[in-house]
Amino acid sequence: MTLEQQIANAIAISGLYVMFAVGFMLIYSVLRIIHIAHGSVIVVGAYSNYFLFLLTRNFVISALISMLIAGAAGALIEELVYRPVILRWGTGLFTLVASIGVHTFVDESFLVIVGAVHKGYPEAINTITLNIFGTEIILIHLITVALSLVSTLSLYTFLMKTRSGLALRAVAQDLELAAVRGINPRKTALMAMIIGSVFAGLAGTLLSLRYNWVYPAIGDEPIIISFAAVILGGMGSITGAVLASFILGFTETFAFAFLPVPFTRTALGFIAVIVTLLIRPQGLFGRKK
Amino acid sequence: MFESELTVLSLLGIFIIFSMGQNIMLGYARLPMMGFMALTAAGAYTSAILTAWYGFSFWLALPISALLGTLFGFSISWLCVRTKEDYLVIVSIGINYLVVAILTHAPYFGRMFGVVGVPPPSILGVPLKHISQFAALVWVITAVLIFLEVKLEKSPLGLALRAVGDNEATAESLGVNSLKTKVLTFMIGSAYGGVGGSLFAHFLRSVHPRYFTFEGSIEVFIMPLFGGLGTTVGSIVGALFLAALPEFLRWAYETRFVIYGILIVLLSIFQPMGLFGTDSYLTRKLTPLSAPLMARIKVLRGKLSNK
Repeated sequence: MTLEQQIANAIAISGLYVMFAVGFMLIYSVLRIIHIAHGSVIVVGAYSNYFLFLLTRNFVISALISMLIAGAAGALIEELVYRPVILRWGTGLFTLVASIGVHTFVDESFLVIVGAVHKGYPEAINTITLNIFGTEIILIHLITVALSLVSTLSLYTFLMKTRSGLALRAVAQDLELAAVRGINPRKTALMAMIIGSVFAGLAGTLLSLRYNWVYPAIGDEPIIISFAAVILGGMGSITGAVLASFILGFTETFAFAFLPVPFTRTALGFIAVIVTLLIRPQGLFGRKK
Repeated sequence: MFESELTVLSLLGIFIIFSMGQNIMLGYARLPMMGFMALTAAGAYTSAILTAWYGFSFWLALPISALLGTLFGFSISWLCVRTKEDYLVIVSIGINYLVVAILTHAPYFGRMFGVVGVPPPSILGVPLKHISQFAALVWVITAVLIFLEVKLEKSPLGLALRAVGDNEATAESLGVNSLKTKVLTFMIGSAYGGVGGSLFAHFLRSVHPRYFTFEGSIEVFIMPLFGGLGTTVGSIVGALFLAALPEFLRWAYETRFVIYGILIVLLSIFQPMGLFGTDSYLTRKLTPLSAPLMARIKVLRGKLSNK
């Protein structure tokens, strides 16, 4: 593969990582929960898209509905699990445990209901390529990058320009002060969960289309990647999460292409995280507390 | 006879060791270390390589595994302890993934084939070939480790660990060096991991990167939480319950992990300190019941020490 193609691949995978990371970052900075079950929401999104596509045979409709389903799943997790735990015991270790429980429950349920087999879409669209300036670009990569650009920019505008976005940012900075100023932390948390989960749903859809398969453990790697990206980029910074996703995507692609040792992408991500934590514990774009 | 039961029994003993090691870090010092299997892998690979390749005896390999496990724990503790709680989660997950990646790709560790041909441990030159003998060995070692953890629970070091776990600033103000205590916690927990790992390697007669993945770490992470955070009894109950649960739920086949997930969620909502943790429902109900018995034991002890 030529260098241009490697770069195109790196941008494509980074675009997907941005979608993982931004949703996770929003939830992490507003709720302060290590939302391991974010991976499960990605699984929900991927499977919803798969089955809806079998029903409707239309990728636009199936993707849109699966985003809604993922958002609903996020809202359910927040209302049924996180909220009771937070109200009783506060955030911290116990919300992490609850998240692990949800993750186990959802993934194993999928394993029981649909089985562990990798299922492919009847019409593989990850083989369609476009030729742009002599570089072969796979259509789904282009769509992924475009969608992640659009959705991240709209989230950025939402956070910066609207009152609800202001509330989200306020809660992310200081929950108690925000509550004193009349912001309902519960409503804000629900909003963050829904937005983050919609991102996860879209990411799951794109992930399943990219590799043309769905399987119950499809969300395991993304959750690690998004956690790594958030630590790398710094808490509560969209710019940081986006940049970190690109760092992870490029490192992975080029390490895979040029290093003699095949290294798993998660391991590479973690080397980046550990080095970052050693040099700059608050992340690349994080504020020091 | 009873071979499958004895196999489960040996595995339970090993899991109790893991659970106690995790409890020292998570229960006492509240360090959410989510990569316990990385520490176990250090002990297991040390033991496997020493006995299978270099012909060491089990009794020499066990302390070396514990020592190397402790050293490994010490070397990662400076990275884990410096960071905030949430960051410790990601760093420890990362260490788990890195260790598995290194074991899978480094030629020395046998890559994805692992190390095979670990001989059974022997006593006075007699190899413990039957599973019942091995189960007995595991349970003797487990009993020793349980004794040590109960001692630790009551010792000044144990109190310091708890103090740091409860409130770091207050502990510091009372003269506890929190950094040093946390590093010590890591080392003790890793020693448990090393011993458990060594037994694990001899139990399976081989080691393989697949045994030490993050999924296993999550299972060990949940154990002390399930039984009762910060108590020895709790970590034993948690290990027994969670390691034996799949055996009891055989009839439920695949659904058992769904049930496991629901149990964890319910637990975190209603009894986050675990079944037998501080101030849990069961502890509150059982304490008055056992009070006369405990008083009796106290009296007896007093009599014994007076004589």
